[in-house]
Amino acid sequence: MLVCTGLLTGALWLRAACPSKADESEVQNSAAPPTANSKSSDYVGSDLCEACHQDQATNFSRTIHAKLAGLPGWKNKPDKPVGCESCHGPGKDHVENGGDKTKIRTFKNLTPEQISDVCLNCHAREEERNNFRRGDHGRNNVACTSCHATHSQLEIPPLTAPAPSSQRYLSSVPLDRSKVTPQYLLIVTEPKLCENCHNETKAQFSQPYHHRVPEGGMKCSDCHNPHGGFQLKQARLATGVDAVCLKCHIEKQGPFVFEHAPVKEEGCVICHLPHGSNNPRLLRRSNVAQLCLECHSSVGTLPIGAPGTPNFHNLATVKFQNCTTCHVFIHGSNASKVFFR
Amino acid sequence: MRVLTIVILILAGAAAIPAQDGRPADPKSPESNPQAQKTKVDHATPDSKTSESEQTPSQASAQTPSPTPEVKAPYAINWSTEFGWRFKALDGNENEYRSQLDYDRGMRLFSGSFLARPGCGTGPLFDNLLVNSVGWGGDPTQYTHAQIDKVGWYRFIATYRRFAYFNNLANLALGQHTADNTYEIGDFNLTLFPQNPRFKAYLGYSLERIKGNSRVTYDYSRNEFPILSPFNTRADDYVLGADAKLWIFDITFEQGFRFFKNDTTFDIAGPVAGNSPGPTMLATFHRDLPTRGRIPFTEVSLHPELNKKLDITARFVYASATTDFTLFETVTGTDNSGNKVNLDRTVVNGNAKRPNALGNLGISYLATKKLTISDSFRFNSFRINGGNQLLETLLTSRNNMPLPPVLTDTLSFQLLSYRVFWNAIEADYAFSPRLSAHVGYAHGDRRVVLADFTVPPGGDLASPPVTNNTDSVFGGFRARPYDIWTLYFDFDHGTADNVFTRVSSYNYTNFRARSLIKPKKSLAINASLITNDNTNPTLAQVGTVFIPFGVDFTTRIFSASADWTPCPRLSLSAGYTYSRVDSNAAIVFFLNSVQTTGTSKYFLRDNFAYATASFQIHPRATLFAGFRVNRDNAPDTGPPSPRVLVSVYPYQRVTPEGRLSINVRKQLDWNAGWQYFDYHDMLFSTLSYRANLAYVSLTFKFDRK
Repeated sequence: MLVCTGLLTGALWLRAACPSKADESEVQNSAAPPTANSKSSDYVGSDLCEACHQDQATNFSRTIHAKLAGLPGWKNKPDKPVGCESCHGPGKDHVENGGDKTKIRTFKNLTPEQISDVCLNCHAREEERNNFRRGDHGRNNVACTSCHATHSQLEIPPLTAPAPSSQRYLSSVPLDRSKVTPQYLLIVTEPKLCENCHNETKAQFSQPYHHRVPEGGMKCSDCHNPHGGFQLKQARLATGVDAVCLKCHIEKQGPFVFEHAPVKEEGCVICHLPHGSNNPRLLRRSNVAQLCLECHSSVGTLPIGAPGTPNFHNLATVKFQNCTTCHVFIHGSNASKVFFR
Repeated sequence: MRVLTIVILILAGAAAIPAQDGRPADPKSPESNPQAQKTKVDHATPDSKTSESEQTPSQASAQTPSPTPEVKAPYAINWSTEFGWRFKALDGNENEYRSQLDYDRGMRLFSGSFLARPGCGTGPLFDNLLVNSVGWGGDPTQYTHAQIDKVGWYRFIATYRRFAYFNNLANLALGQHTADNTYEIGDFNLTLFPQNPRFKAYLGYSLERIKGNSRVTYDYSRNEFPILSPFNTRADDYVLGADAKLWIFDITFEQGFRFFKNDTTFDIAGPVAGNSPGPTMLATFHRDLPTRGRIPFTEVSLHPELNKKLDITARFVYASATTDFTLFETVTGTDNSGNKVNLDRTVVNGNAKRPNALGNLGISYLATKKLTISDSFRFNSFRINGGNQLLETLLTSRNNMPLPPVLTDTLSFQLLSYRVFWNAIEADYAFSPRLSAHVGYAHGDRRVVLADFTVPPGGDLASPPVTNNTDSVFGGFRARPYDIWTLYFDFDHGTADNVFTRVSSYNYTNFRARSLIKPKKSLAINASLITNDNTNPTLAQVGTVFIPFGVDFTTRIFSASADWTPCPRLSLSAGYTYSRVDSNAAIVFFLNSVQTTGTSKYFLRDNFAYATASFQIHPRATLFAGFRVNRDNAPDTGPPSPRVLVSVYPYQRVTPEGRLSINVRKQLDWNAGWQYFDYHDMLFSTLSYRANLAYVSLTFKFDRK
């Protein structure tokens, strides 16, 4: 099976590695950023583009991108072309050659990195996106256009807003995949947008205990920064430096006099499954005692910090099978070293 | 009133159907004629044509196609509201039902959306005003999102959520930890000059409130007592910041503050006996633990991009969190020796501080058109210093004779210091527009110091620093062998020289593959396979002998789904996910005071499948049907053994549902729906439930161009 998988992967690799002539011409064409080596006379203006590309121009005119032309800081700046050529590059050659596609940047066959580079020319200025290239999406070559559609915005239909909550619980009503949403030019609203690739999360959020994503109370981007960031899993941070969970679970933020060290060293996910779980309280184990004992076990000398249980903890009794009955404030306590109060 | 509302809702739909039959829809009306819709949209744009052909029937019945508008009104307004009545019939364990779903009967605003935009594209006050809401009126998830902006001037985004959180589960802490709380979370953010390339400013405010009735337990004199704990916690966050372009630098500055307040109290309503047999009893109990916290944090970020070749991001965040608290607790009752506790009064005062510094540096060198080399560096260091003074006065008596008072006065300090350096270097290469790959190496170095100091008895219990070094290689590729097929693959393999917690891994290997096939715009087939193998082959030294004492766990997730819209009237969606977890950890515990070495095992065999269909059965009627099943098949765990602890949670939840929407008038839909939840808990059968949730609703729509 491994051999078959390897052979198949190799074949696909070769198939993908051999670009067609069209691909090559597109890559060559797209190579030079238009604003880097271009003269202002190379730009023809969006009005001329509209003569042939009326539909795209109409849609584009409704986007926020189109409105930049009238803003101070953008208009009359040769180094900051606005309109079609800000992304597609100078159109003079394209126009003079009768609409030759090889004379202008088209996005169809650009590499994901090249596509993102075009967007990052402007959008990397904000901290939200300035680490996109080194984030998980950037690293795995997910382009901006995988989630955003820059000039397909139609008049906004009512149901691009969240589907009725009466339907939303299961949220299986297939959402339109091509209509642009009112916000951020997304091709579809969250969480469907994310589930398109991360389809295993749909199962996680369908488990009996889960965060309120399918119900419409939360979005993936509340906890994850889809544009990168520096944290593992592109997680966001609360109050600058703390785990994103503490944005809402404020009573667990501390600092406490007596910290349960793994909460801070390893993070909440050491005990909890944040998307969803079959176990109460999103725990990794259905039996809490096991969750505790898997760390709090020590035999002889171990290079592990967690202390073992004392000898009066008789696991044959119900009392000691329910650790949190006594160790109530397990995330941290100000008054009890063993988290009693 | 309730019955009247239901009758009105049902009659509204019933009355409207004859009206519709009696007066056929205007065939020229786009709302009543899907073909007209399509034709009209065909005139709009190729994009719109595509999207219209893909839209689901449910949307088709509700969405008004939107050709290029002729501006007649100052504001184009697009508004819809669905409200109605939710019914509930429940059979089985209500606490479990409420812990999982918690939908109740009553009037609901199922959804609402409002969009206003100036007809000419820009208005004096705003260019867009968008409000979306779901669940108001009593659903457990209530959400409102609003955005108002004027391009070039400001953007204001507000989100307000209200979650009902109910948790009363018999299988956790003996069923004595319960919650019936409300979470309120609001975020309000204003950006000034959002499109200005030179300068923009941010102002933000967030609120978090948790209130409600909770119950916890308290260990007093070696017995446990259920305690009422009305939850009352709040936090207020304030942020102000700015983005500026100075020379080659994009600079972000942000200053934030969080103010935290916890006034949760702990009480009993009357004398309470403990869980365990014995004389211990609480006659009265009261605890106040007012806690105040504040976290000022400052963030600075720099981002220069040099000659389109070097992309650098540097970020530094510093936060200094502080908590001040006072615990005041009084107890009367009987202790475990049978002595009468006349008064056990405890006062604890103290504070804790957590200065925390976080630094990041990311550099990407765009070496050639195809090759990018990147380096990411992270530094994080914090110290948590806490201390308290405990004063306890214990006055007891036996046979009405006072015993000598016991006075306790201790000082405690604890320190947790943590520092991490982490660096990853990687190369990304685009072989062609269809194939790109990356490979990299990461190294992490963590250090933890724990110290504990109590007076009396005194003595520094500081442990020596513990370090953890992790090395890993990672890589992956994205291939598009055919136009319709995109394949993502990545892996991560690492080793560590130490672990802080045993469930962390010495060795791990993760693989992830995703396949996205889109033969045409109306059909998408996705599949993914994720594997994680984690091992911790620790040996424990018992005397002079080393015994295996490790932790191993593996995860396998396979997921596949398909979305198909064969025609504008029909849309289908189906998927299946299988999640498997096997965990095996050596543990040690005490059985009747005898130290015992055993095993902790955990198994997950979760199957999730769903299928949905949305069908426009009539130009005015759309039917939605769905079916979903979650099932965890616990494997055979062998004969029970006191040395082997096994954790499984076999259960099944089956959820069919249906919804009928009838477009009664141009601006009115009548909806009726039903959802059924059959939860069968195979571990604790008394936790099973069956719930029928139905609703009748009206959707009002208003669309002015």
